[in-house]
Amino acid sequence: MSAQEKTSQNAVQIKNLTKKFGSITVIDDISFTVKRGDTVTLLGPSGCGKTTTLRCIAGLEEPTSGSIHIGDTMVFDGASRFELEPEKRNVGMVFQSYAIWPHMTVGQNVRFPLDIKKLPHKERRDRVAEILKSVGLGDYLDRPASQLSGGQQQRVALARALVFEPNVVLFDEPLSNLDANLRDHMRNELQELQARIGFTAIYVTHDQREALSLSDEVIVMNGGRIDQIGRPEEVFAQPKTVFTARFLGCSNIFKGRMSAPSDDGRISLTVASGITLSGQHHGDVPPVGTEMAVVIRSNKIKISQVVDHSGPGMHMLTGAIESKVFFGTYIEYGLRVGDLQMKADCDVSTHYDVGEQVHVAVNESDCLVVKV
Amino acid sequence: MSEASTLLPHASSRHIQRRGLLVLIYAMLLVSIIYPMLMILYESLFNASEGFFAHAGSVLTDRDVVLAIGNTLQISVLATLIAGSLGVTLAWLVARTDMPFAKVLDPLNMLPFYLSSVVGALSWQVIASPKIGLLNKLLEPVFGAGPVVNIYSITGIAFVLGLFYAPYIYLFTLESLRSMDASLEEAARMAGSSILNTAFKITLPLSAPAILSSFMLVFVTCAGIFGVPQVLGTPGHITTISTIIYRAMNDYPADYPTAALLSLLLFLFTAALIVLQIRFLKNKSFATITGKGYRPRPLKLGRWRWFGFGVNLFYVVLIFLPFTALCAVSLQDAWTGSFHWSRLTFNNYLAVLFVEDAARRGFSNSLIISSVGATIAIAVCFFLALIVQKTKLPGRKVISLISTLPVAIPGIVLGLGFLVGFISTPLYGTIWIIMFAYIVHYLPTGLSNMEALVQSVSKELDESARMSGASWSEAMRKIMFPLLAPGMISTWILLFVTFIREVSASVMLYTLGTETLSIALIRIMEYKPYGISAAFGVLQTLLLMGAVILLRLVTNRTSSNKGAH
Repeated sequence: MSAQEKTSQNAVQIKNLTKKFGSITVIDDISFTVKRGDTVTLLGPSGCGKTTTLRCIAGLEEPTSGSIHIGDTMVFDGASRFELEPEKRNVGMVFQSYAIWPHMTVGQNVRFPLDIKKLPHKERRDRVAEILKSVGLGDYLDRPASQLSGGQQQRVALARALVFEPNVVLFDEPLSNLDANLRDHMRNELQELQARIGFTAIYVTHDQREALSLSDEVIVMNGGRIDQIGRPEEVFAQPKTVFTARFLGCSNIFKGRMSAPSDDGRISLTVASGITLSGQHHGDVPPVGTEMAVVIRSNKIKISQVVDHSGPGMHMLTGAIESKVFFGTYIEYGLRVGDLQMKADCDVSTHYDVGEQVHVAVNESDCLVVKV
Repeated sequence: MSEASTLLPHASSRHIQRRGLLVLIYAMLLVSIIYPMLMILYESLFNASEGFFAHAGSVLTDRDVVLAIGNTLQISVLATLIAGSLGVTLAWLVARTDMPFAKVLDPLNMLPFYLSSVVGALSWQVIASPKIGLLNKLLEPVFGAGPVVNIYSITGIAFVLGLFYAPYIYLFTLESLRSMDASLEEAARMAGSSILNTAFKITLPLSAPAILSSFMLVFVTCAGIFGVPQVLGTPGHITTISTIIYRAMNDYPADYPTAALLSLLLFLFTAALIVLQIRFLKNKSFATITGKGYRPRPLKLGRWRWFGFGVNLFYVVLIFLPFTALCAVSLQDAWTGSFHWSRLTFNNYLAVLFVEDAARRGFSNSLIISSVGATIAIAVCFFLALIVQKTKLPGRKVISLISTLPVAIPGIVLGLGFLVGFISTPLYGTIWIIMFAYIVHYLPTGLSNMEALVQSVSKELDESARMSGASWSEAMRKIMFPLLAPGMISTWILLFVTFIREVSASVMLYTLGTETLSIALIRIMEYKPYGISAAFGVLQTLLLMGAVILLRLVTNRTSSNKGAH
């Protein structure tokens, strides 16, 4: 592949991006690439630098160092202090607050980018009508923007960001201001629209469900650094760190020192006195004695009164029920296993009482050994 | 019954006391606001010897009156445009761009808000009077003999007013810009819009309601103002409605019906505009404030940032340079158009402080009126704010409405109302009637500040003190007062400053011996050498600046307190 072909496939390329506010480093030397047509999600807790990264790509924030390319165009270069103004980057953005201009109609809001570009009037009209139709607001052209509901504002913001066919569309937690039902609905719509129009998108969120369902690639960020990059299935099934595992919903995390790896690539950790767990490890095998962690999803832990899950590759433990919380579709049991506390999500048909002694079974293949 | 808040002791429990309280407040508002205005109405309707219609007909067709109305409109429009373009531009530069030294320029832009426009007029004479103005002397070699600029003109009056009222528009615009969701502007940038295009298409239209209402405020104030048109209009024979009202009262015998009729006209005009503004704002305000406090990144002006700095600096120079010239004049025994070290003297200051009776009386009268008046005003406004905000007393809406009425009454009109209403009481001829008029005139300012303050302290803070076992007075003393004190002090200083420089109402109410500072200044300008008025103006400005510094100290301390929470 020649160098030119390589760049033309990339919608956004970020190299060694760093952003400091005074003495605080918000983005710490991150690099990633977004392929044309892909949706990439920056996932992380608040303060991890995901929104600042997005704003640096937009040009609304000036990075401290590094470089940013959008398509084949360099838009920021720290070494030569080059910075392209946001309006010249041809990037669409959907803001968290939607930023719908209340002094304009829906049509005026969406037409604004085309007015700036001074397109022929007929083309402006056609494109506005078309995009409004595709976000389901075909009849709202002359409606004052100040009279829209949250979901409608969201759609107008989307239409406005898409109408001028930008190189990439940036989403800054666009669904976080909507209530739960509407959020699911809008997420599905966004997915459909992406499939239909095929725009490139960078999406910032702290919601793992949004990240997993919307993206081709998830970038998990922690403390200004990238923790892990991968396809949603990959990041979900094979987290590489405790942080990513916990952020994607693993509630059983046990730290311990590593013993020698076995022949089949499994690693054993002593996680408490008398309890050794072994599990899959992806990536380089660290030296013996390194502190690692075993992570187990709570729905993979099985509880029974008699030993009925035993077999090869099963961890068999005994413990006591400490707590019991009903969540509708499942029951979450808190367990005490030796010195460990575990959580197990079980079917609602199970009836264990607090204090009851139970057998606990975990398949080795459901145990992942990750970096601390 | 728990109708009244715990802030008011016993008010909830005793029906009769509550009735008494209401009657007292209504009586107070009736006497101080409604009665003087009714007296003006009565005076203009029934006291003209030829009857109301004949009198009104002759007054309104009088060439001088028509001319004055025209001048007033021209001055107000022009002054509003000058103040508006300055205020909006500077606010945008300070709030939204990377203009250098914005933090330093911000308080300097606000300074004229606290200074006297009469002293401003006095100092602009040094720069731009037709005969001895420095600027005219400077430009003489270029343009030949004859004045190039003339401050004794409609443009001159509007210019000085525009400079001194720019901070009002600046303040409103700044607040509107700072509270606006920055992503509204960022969205425009992302859509391809340039900085300037974003400012005109998004920022300005969104803050238009706030900006327009400040325009209206400045327009109404300039239409009723007396000091500057009197000082700068007299030499060039330019009259305004307020100056002809004053002249009607200064004729011998005083022409009450004419002054009252013109006052009524002026009042109806300003009141109509204010009603219009309230109507307009009702339908037009956008909720652009957002919860997410993302600090907007200042717009990069590139090399234009120094141009922006230059524009702002120019405004500061327009305020400070004339004042510097005034200082120079005050230090010369006779002003010849340039400063000479050989002519350096402090005699003008000595004359103001020790020789000129009117000046000395002006200082002592104004200090007494302003300090006592501000104290009473704070007490009254705090009490009214408690009633309006923290009780459910019937009629509290009416109280609030009547208390904001003086917004629509120009100072000179209120002064005339007080004169006509109280001339036969012992109050007339004392400094207390002037103080009374000030308190009433600035009741809306004081009340809105106090209401904001009372609202800012949640009822639960007081209630939790009560639940912890504190009595009403202990809760007041230990919880409420410490929380309220800084806001009260800063409002007190604001009122003090406003009272010190007041002209319009005072000019109707002063008598020999009760001259206020600004009145004494205007009187001395009429018959004393220029150096003495200059020294007087400098002293008044120093007094006001001292109060401003105090105010900044108080407000800085409170804002740092708030930051710690």
